[in-house]
Amino acid sequence: MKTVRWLSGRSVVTALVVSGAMVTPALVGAQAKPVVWNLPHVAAPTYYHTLNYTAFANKVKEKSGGRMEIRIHPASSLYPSHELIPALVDGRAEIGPVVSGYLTDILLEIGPLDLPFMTGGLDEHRKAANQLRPFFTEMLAKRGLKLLAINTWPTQQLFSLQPIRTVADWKGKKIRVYGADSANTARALGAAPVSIGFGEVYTALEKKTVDGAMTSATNAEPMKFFEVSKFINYWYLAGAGSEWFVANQKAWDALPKDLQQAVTDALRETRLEDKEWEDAAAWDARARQRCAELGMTVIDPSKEEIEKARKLARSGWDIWLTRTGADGKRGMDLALKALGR
Amino acid sequence: MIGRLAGVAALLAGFATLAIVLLISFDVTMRYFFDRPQIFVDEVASFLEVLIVFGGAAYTFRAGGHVRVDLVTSLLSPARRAWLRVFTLALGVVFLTVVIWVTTQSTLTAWRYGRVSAVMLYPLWWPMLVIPAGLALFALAMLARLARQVRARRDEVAPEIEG
Repeated sequence: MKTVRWLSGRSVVTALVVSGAMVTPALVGAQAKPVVWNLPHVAAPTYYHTLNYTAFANKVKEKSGGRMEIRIHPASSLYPSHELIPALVDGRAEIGPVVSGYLTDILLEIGPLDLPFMTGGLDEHRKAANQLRPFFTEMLAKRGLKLLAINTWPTQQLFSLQPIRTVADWKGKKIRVYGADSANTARALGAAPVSIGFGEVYTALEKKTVDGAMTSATNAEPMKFFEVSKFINYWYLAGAGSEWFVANQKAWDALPKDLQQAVTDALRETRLEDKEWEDAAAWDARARQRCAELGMTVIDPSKEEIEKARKLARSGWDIWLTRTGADGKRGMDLALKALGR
Repeated sequence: MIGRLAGVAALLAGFATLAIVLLISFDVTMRYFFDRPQIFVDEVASFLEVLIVFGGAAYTFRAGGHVRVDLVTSLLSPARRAWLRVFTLALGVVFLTVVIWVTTQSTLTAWRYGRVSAVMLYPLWWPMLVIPAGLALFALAMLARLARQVRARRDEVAPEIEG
């Protein structure tokens, strides 16, 4: 008993000394150490998303007096593209984008505006997205995400080896697609979808493995698609590509109020959302001009042909509805109402 | 038992290689001659690649087929090599345990969220399951080798090729 008491006493002293030695520097460190959040992204370091998020992160640092740091990880350097959404939902990443192009399962219901041919351009897409903001906020909250801003990618167009001016021109063409919805659209228009990774599109066009590829016109120059495809067809397969900029709700709640305010202020002062839509429009406009300068022929299908394509693409929307249940139906109704369709 | 399981997994990995060859040939033929690309092939082939890598890991280990650098170890005495072998095998088992844990969590997450592939919407959890399963078999094979090395004489390095 005596031994036990002696041991207990010594243990207490030792524990105090050790914990004191460990806790004191930790507390001192905690005061000096900034809160670090990770922001993973798929965009290249020079793409406008990365530039805008970097400006936002710098502003957060400034507004918080260096107490908060947001680290940008571009070009899928932290998580591969399809892991971005789960990483945000799980809280492995505290802040980041929910990119519509990667909506294949989780949060699929928030993407009605991004269905092929749903919107016809950036302005129309943005106006509708603003009207759907409460719906997006609610759906994201269900997954433990806080909506900070609705950002965008440029429009999605069609590169091709032959001009594709009419719906009839799609028939029998092998078209590179990037997901289930774009594959359904290609099928609905009479084309044969081919699933090819973004990095292999150039070779696929060069070797004529495909007759065309769906992607953004802004890729023409950086990816050198102008070298291997003569035509850029402005079908507006997607009027924009939504990117919901979110924070993991638990991570947000764990932030002190003043740091939450610093993030909110930084969003406002950098005009992040406005800047994103302005940049998408500017990049789109520049890409269109550059395509012509680089020797490509710019094709503008008539409004009637695009409307015809939209009607055919609706079969793909129906497939999407079967996968998204009541929330998807509500989102679709809101989207159609916002667009006046 | 581990040897038999590793053999079966390796056989499946071999069949997966054959399946990829046949599937891609089928896709190319259909696309080139009939303008009918087989969109499922790309995703199925990538799932089969996972089986090739992780299904063959344990068998390759038992056959001494993994890449090793013996520039330094060949200079050591048998006794030191034996100790080093125990250490590296133990380290390997620990490393694999961590990876198995992480990949199992990822698989469970994929199952819980109902995650599917981008184009064909195939459930992702089952090809993901191949990773921890293959690694578990690999870890068991490594553990068996470790046990044999511990039982061996202090100056003897247990054989690197089994079965």
